[in-house]
Amino acid sequence: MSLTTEERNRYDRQLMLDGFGEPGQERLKASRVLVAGVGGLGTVAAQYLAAAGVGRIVLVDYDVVVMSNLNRQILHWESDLGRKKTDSAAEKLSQLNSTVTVIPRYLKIDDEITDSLVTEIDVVIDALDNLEARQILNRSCVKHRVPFIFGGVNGFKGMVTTILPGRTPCLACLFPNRTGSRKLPVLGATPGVIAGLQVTETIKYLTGNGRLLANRLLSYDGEIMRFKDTSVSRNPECPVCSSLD
Amino acid sequence: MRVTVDGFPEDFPAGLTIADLVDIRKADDTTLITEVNHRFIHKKDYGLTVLVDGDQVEFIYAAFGG
Ligand SMILES: [Zn+2]
Repeated sequence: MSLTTEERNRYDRQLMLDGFGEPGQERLKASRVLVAGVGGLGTVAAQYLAAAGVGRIVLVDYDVVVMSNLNRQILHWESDLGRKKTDSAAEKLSQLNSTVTVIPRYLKIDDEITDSLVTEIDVVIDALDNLEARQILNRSCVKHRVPFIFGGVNGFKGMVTTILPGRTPCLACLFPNRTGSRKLPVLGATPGVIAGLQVTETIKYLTGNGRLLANRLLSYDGEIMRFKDTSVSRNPECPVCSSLD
Repeated sequence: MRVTVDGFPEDFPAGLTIADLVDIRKADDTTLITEVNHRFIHKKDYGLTVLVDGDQVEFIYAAFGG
């Protein structure tokens, strides 16, 4: 799958990156990324994926745009109020980069559907807004050995880690609970920071560049402007991933 | 013994476990993550992890919004 002249021009600045080049771009073009949740994290992540030329972007959400989304969900605009988030986002992403395929899937992450969602996907970006749905998606990713880039936000704070099933702790190793979702405060720029990190990890994984945030949990606190890195390990008794090697 | 909790050193009786410290600090929460000397401690090990002089403990609250 070689690049067209237009693509060489469009991706000029990233083609210049060390260890990236045309092979890296071709890998992105052939890649399939699922963005689970098209809210604060998902709208930012999806834009950078589309702009970078990830060939196939699947957007999953089961919500419509409401006014209180607009402080952070930057692909949804006033004219989108009442629209499905998946449609609102897909429309803009196609305008941003018409050479990538964007697949909107208006559905809820539940036990029945997720297994079929993650097959034929290279990376899942977790842009969900509650732990229950994350645990469901984590289980499917572990089962199908799909990398899962966890990201979460709360107020000025956020966290990220790259989960490679069998090689790093899974979400259930780190967070054995299944707490309920609740309405959290969020500064709009916080998911911008976190989703930017998630896309960086995704692109590194897809192109084979750099060192991944694997076995490390990165916490960000924008209020005191500090990043901190915690070494994490698998739980040998994890009900989700302990049987994988 | 002296243990640093969230950046502040404090004296504690010897034999203190993470579970004890979580109790003392009323830090328990479903989103709580504990780090000792930059290493994540699994929840199941809170009662088994005995702190020693010089340990650095941080309580982190996970963020699950999107
Ligand atoms: Zn696990």
